[in-house]
Amino acid sequence: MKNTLIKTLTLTLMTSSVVYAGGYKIPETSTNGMALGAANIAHNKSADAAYYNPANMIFMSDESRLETDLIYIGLSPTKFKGSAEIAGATIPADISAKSENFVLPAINYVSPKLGKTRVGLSISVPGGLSKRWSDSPAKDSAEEFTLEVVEINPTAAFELSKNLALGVGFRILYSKGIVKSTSLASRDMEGESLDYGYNLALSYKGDNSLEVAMTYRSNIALTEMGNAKLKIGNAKVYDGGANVSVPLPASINLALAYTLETKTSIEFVYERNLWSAYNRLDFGYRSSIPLIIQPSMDAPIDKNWKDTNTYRLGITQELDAITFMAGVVFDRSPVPDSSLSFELPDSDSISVSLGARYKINDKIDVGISTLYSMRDARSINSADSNNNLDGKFSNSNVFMLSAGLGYKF
Amino acid sequence: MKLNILILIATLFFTACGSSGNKGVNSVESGSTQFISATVLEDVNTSTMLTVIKSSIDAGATNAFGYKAIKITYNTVGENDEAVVASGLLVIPTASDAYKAYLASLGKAFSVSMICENHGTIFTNAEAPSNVEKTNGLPDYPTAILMTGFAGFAAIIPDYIGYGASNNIAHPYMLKKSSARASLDMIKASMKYMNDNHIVLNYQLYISGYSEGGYCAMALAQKVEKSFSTNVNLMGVAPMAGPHNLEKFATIELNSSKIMPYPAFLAYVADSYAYYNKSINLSDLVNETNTTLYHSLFDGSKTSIEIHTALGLVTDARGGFNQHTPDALFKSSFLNDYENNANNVLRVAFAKNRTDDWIPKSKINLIQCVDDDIIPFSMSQDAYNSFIAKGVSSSQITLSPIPTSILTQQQDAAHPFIHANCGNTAYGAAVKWFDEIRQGKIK
Repeated sequence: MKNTLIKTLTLTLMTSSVVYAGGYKIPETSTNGMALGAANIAHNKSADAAYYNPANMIFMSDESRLETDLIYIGLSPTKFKGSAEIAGATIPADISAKSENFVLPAINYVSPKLGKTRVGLSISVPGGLSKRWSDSPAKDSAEEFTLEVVEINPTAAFELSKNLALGVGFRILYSKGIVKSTSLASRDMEGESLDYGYNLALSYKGDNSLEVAMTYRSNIALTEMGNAKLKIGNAKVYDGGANVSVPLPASINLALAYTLETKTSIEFVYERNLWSAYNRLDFGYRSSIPLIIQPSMDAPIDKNWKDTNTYRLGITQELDAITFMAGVVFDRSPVPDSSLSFELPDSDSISVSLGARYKINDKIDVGISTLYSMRDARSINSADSNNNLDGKFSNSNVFMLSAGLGYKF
Repeated sequence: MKLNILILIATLFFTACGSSGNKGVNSVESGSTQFISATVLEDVNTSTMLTVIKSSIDAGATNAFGYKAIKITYNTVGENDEAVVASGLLVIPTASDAYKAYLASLGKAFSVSMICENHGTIFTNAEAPSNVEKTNGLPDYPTAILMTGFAGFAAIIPDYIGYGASNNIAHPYMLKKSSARASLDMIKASMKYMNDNHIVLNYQLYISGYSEGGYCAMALAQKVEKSFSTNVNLMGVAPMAGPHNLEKFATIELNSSKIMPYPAFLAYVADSYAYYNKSINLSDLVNETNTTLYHSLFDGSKTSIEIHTALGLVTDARGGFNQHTPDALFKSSFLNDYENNANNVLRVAFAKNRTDDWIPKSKINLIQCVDDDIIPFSMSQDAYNSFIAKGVSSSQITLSPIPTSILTQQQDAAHPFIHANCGNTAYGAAVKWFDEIRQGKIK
């Protein structure tokens, strides 16, 4: 029974894969995080500080906090109208990707004080990507492009002074990738990876309601290793070991929060995402593959993604038993025109969010939040595209909903 | 306590992870089990080949492909499941720089499609494809000149068990299982050689064959669809003038009043089936009482004239042999039993070895001269009808009857048989059809 339960949990986590934020990061990993557009860093005093800003655990009241969340993400079916060139032929297209619906679980825990230290643990889905196309020319390169990431992030916070705290974390990422394409030559690859990184946080909590924080999450190369099956037409020509690496990039957050006497907290985050780590996509194989498909299946694909800035603004209004939250996010796409493709037709976005928490009693509270991300349509012309795309991607909006249960003990 | 539970969940989470599939080296069959050795016999450049093509196939040709001929030896399995080292001729095309540039202007690159060509009946080992090809600076194998030098396909031409490297073994003539297996293993060995030698294969496979080769082509196509269809793209099959339904073929040819057009063929079939089938005694079939002598006529050292002479079937000084009814070769008791007894052992064996009793998934083009005087045209017609009756789409199965009037070689004293005269025209039609499929003109 226990194994069944665990496998069910695992399955739930592993099938949770989306593309949402610029690139394939998912910043909103909790109910409060969603309500505030992931601006909940400097002022964070809930269990999800274990993920967003572990240094802040020092400034919380001395009790254990546990929070579980279920996050729904619905992706509109991205449309593409235009043409793509495949094997020398220009193929007109007016097609849509499949719509995607996901439920992501998250668990956050903060321990009671252990002297001048506290520990936390976060299990979340901090990144992922799933784009599926069933029509040519998209399926020729991205019939399915899925990256599933689950992070287990134990953290610790240390009191440096009355107003200053340091947080450190160890990141354990399990990821699974699926790459499928069906064309003259086809690929069906599955791989998985276990990777490690770290995160740091520094928080200052002033006496005058000003809070300042800086957090850093390290770059982690997700080196998916597994099996690839390659076909030429219906002929399977390769069935063996394969690997491909994609980065979950480093990010730096500079956060500022100010709380008014009305118990209104305003939070601002400047986020720098170091997407330039993703400069190429390079599939590798354990043994040689046929010459005829080496150019399409083995040659490195230039990505040349750019570092991006994201701006997050969150407002929290505390009342007696209820807390209201709202946020807005301005996010830029790291994907240049040259490497824009069907696997991730990314674009700039503006997101708005709302949420509330209700304190049932001193130990239990519940929360709900929602976010709507409005993604720009993005045009591409063949002169700028390494992928010979000419047309327009649209309708990539995202709707999210989260419900959470908090418990203090 | 709660922290411990979370850590437990995390730990178990990782233990539940895993992905399936081979993570080691490529597990797709590479032909390494089949391939033994390769000997380059000839390497003719594109310029010389253009001269050959202009003089032998198309005077107006402006392009030809280089002709690299290799003798391949390979492992296969005989009719009694015995291990056999067999051989065959592989001819690989090379493209001229001008042709590569032409393709590049179209946004394409040169890649190699394969034809497994199954040759017609031969009697001497000298006629085996890998023996026909000499190291003399010129291409020697006619169908390879057409398929490779003219059309740019790689020609994979098995010698068959009993010829070439396996000349010490009796040829399993018109026996489905080993015929198909020997050709398929030659394909695998050839693909291994080409991959190892950096030939850009596109994994398109075509199958052709004429007369005995037509029979083998049909058997091979069935075998490929059953056991090799995930390794190649079988694009088209052209079985030409093959006795696909042996039982019916023999019923026609053993008719007591019919003149045997080419007795050595029937004599060869009788010997092969008696040799490889314990329930068939050669002495029950043929008039010749010295069955050891009879069997030795088919050891690859005797020509058809020598065979006809040894069997007492030559009726004139020029070696003419087509004057005899079946009782000149076969016992009357056997002929009578074959005609009237559905359980005659040879009939049963023939029925077991027919090659038209399946449902193909690939495109098949049955090409044959309507006036074929050795293999009745009904063999192709019946195979076509059989496939259609089994529900195969008429868009997938083509019957291409060739009228005698269009043959480039008409009957004369030196070319008395339409069956033989038809070969060039039939091969021309098959290669043209293959090329149209390759170019996407036929979907």
